[in-house]
Amino acid sequence: MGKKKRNRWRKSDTQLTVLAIPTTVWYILFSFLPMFGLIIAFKDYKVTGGRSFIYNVFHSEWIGFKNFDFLIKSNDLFIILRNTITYNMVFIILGTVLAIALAIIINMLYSKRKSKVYQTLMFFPYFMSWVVAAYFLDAFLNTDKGLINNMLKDGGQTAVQWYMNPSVWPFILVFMYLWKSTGYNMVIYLSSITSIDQTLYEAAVIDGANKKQQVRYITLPSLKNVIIMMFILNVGKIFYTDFGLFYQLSQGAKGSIFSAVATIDTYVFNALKSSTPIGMTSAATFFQSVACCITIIVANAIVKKVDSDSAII
Amino acid sequence: MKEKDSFSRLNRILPSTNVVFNIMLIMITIACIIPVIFIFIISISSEASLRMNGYQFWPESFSLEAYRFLMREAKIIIKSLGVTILVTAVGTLLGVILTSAMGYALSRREFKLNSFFTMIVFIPMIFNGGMISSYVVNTQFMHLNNTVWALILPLCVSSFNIVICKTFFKTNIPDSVVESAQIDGADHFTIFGRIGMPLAKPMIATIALFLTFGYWNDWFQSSLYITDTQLFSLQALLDRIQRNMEMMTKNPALGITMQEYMKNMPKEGARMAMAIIIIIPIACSYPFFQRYFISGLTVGAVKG
Amino acid sequence: MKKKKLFAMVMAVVLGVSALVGCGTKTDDETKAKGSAAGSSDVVTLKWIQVGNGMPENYEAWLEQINPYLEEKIGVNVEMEIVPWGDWENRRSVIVNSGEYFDILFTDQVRYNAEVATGALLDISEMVKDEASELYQMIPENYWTAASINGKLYAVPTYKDSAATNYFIWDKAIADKYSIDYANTDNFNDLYTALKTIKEGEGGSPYYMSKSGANILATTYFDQLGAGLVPIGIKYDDETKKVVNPMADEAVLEQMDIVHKMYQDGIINGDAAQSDDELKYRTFFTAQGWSGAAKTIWGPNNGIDDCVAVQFENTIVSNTTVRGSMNGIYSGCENPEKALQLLQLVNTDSKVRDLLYYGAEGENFEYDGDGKVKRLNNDWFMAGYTQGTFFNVTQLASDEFNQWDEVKELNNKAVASVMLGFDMDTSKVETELANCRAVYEKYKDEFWTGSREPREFIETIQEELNAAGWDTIRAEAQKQVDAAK
Repeated sequence: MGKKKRNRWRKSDTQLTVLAIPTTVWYILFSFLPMFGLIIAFKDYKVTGGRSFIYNVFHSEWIGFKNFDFLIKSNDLFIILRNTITYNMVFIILGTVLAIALAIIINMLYSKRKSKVYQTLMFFPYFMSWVVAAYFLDAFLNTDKGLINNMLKDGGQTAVQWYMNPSVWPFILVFMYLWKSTGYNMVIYLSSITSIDQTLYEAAVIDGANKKQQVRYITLPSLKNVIIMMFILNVGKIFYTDFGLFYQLSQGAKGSIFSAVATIDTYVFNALKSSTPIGMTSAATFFQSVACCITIIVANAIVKKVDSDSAII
Repeated sequence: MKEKDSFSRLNRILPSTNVVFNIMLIMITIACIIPVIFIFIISISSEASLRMNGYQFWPESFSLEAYRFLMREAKIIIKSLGVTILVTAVGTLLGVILTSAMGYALSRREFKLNSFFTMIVFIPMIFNGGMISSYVVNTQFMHLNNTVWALILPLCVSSFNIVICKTFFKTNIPDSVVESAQIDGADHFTIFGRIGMPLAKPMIATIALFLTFGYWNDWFQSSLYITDTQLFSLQALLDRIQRNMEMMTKNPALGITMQEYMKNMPKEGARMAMAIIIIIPIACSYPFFQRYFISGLTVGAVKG
Repeated sequence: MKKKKLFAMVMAVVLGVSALVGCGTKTDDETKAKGSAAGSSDVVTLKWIQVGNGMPENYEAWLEQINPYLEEKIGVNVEMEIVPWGDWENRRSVIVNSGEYFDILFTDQVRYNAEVATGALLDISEMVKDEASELYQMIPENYWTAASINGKLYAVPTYKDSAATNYFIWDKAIADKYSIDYANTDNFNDLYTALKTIKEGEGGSPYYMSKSGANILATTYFDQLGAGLVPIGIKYDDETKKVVNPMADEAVLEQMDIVHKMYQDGIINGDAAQSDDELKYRTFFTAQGWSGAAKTIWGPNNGIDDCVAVQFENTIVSNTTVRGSMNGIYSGCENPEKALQLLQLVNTDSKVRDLLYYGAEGENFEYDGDGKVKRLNNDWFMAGYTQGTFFNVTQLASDEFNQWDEVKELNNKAVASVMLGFDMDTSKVETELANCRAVYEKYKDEFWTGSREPREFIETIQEELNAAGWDTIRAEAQKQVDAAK
């Protein structure tokens, strides 16, 4: 369906517009109005006493891309970009597969009560802050008192400095990400699975399909739209990382494990302390925004080519 | 309640598979809650053993001091709980209405302004004006500081939720249904209200869940906009104490004269007790939403 | 379900209305306050923003005690905003950058340069001498120089432990048990021998280090020039004023070798590079302060019954040490003269000082027969060190000795850094500073805790620093230093 043949404004269009207006007002007030702040990335922001913020923003000197220099010229740019993108891809793929698999499995259990309990308990990690989770991880990995090192020492081996050993951290981080988000990620798939028309299953059973075939031919295809939607949405955040996950768990994303753990967000946090002009922080965020914009448009375009109904834009 | 009709019975997995799945899920669940148990154990460890040995799975001595400390603050905690509940309820309700209305409108392909509104929703997903400009707009322009609305409004709509909504409506309310309803004289408001929303119970429950949990967890809005102690949300209150403590311990450079205040800070155990209070109630509210993930809601037979 | 929905909606409307009403009342109060301020002759309300535990519960009652007194003395009413420590970073950034109105703002060396550069603070160099002459006399000339940037003053420093002294701090009971002559252990070599003895006897790690490690070595010997980057500095007593990397200094490296040995021998805890400065028991550690703090702060905080502190190296006064606590005035302040008068009053008048430091009289504290102070509870949330000098705070009845006397003495004995009064203008090298800072942050924990062999490590660090533009910063700094001679 391509061409818009209708050029008459219909009554239904008015109705839909009315439905859309309240939310639009919200967006104007809370998203579009503050958006002028994006300019700060390109300015040498200075305050004039007694003047409003808007005055200050517009009267500060325009310095083009200078605020972006520190990020572009950084020697660690490659490492942080590589880490950010790679971790996010792994998170998206593994996270989705695990969430879907568990959602399907939970849905197949005999006891609905048990399945509710599992779902509830799997949600606990979502509410735990990364700071608290970091204490927990430390109880295992602590060089002197950690559980793992104690076991090693009891077994006659030498203790390992986990927080200085880069090779284990990708596994630790992926595991901890899955631990924290799976419960949450499952929700959307659980609710979608239960919306699937039961008659489809009935027809399939009559045709002699077993459980595996039902999953393959009914459940998954029915989830197609949701899966693609989630995929595109997640790809749209691929240059952002969960700061707490990378910074708190690794106790600072620094030192010997930097190459395995540092992401754009942790790098920017460490580089720009409170004494740096706000233009630079703004520039870093702008960089991430533009990169994500490109990625999501590309992802959406690819999806549109393959199956135009599933694209989200 | 056992929903076992004859079809479900026929279409079950093997009992042995069921057992395997259950064992697997039990292990996963244990992995999820062990840290919470650990936190709980710390919260009942005595101050002295925490100081000497740090965190342990089995501390030298136990004590309920942390919870007694929280009991003393019970009045404030209950007040902030009230604020949280108010904010969460109003915010979730508002959010669901705004989100689903927009999602429905965007799901209609024939809508002339579809691309326009899609842009309105898409752009904020990518571009953000920054903490300071948001602050300026919210306080100087809309005067939201120190009101509950500063806690409610900025969080009630998210493009993420709208896309979920739009996808749902697109998938589950095909054009054919809409057209036949329109032929019957219904306008979009009726279709949205009478057909769309009831059908969308699982999706609404999902979005309501995201919103509720988002509001529950939020402390950032309070930290920026609220100075009036009557208006703290629970998470903001407890988190504030937690972050005060963190800031002190991570910044020894702030000087000795600040360390005097560490004496008055709640101790390790109390912090963990607070974490428990934050986690348990809300996680246990999950079944409330899960109730709505029911099957069998289809549009019914629409021939042709 | 429908009924519930209806009920929820009604609730929402009701609550929404009440919230709006509440909002409306608040605005009324504000206008009323402003109105009365404008109306009643010359009483000016000054807004003062500080960091602390949060707004005190009895704030209103406290205002009723302090405002009449202030009104009588200088025709001023005060309005405080106490930002909790955890929110401080965000809230500050917003206040300073968004043009929100305030009169007085607490600041410190971490942010002072940036705030002046952004233009948020008022130049009070001349005004302070006119409006707050008593205050001006009270604080040594040195300190005013240290608080100035390029000869101009933008904030009033708080006269407290404005010179920095570092200490070796011991659990006396353990030290005595092994007959350690701690009073004469004032360098890392002797420290090593002493701690080794303790470790052999007690086991564990007697020297508890947090991730800041032994970075007192940098702060004790080097001035940071206001650049905010530890790897840039000039030695305090270096008359030639050569800009170097303190981490690569031979004297520092020698001591870091010992620290590394201590780490390998297990004298320092193996998780030092990840640890925070928690309230943990420790047999030995280092910190900045004054020796009396061993009894009042370090011992109680860390569960050490008998705690002693031995001075390490000299007491230094530099820009950084003086700027630990300052109060700046907004560049758009409407009543800067009154603001300065208030600051003067706080620093000279004990009654005002006590009210700010201890809380509301009768609720948080009271005066006893000797005129000393007895604390009634621990609920006062304002942070005394952010407000003004300690030297006019009334003594606690429970204090056995006046620790401020020692602080004053240390201040007087302090050695001044050769770079006192100098601030580097960083505007040309912000990019290099950001990247060098990232490199420093990357390696600082492992370096200062001795987790890695220092001499090899510093080569890696210096290489990365150079790649990030360290030499550009160094050259620019040297240029400015030479020009200022």
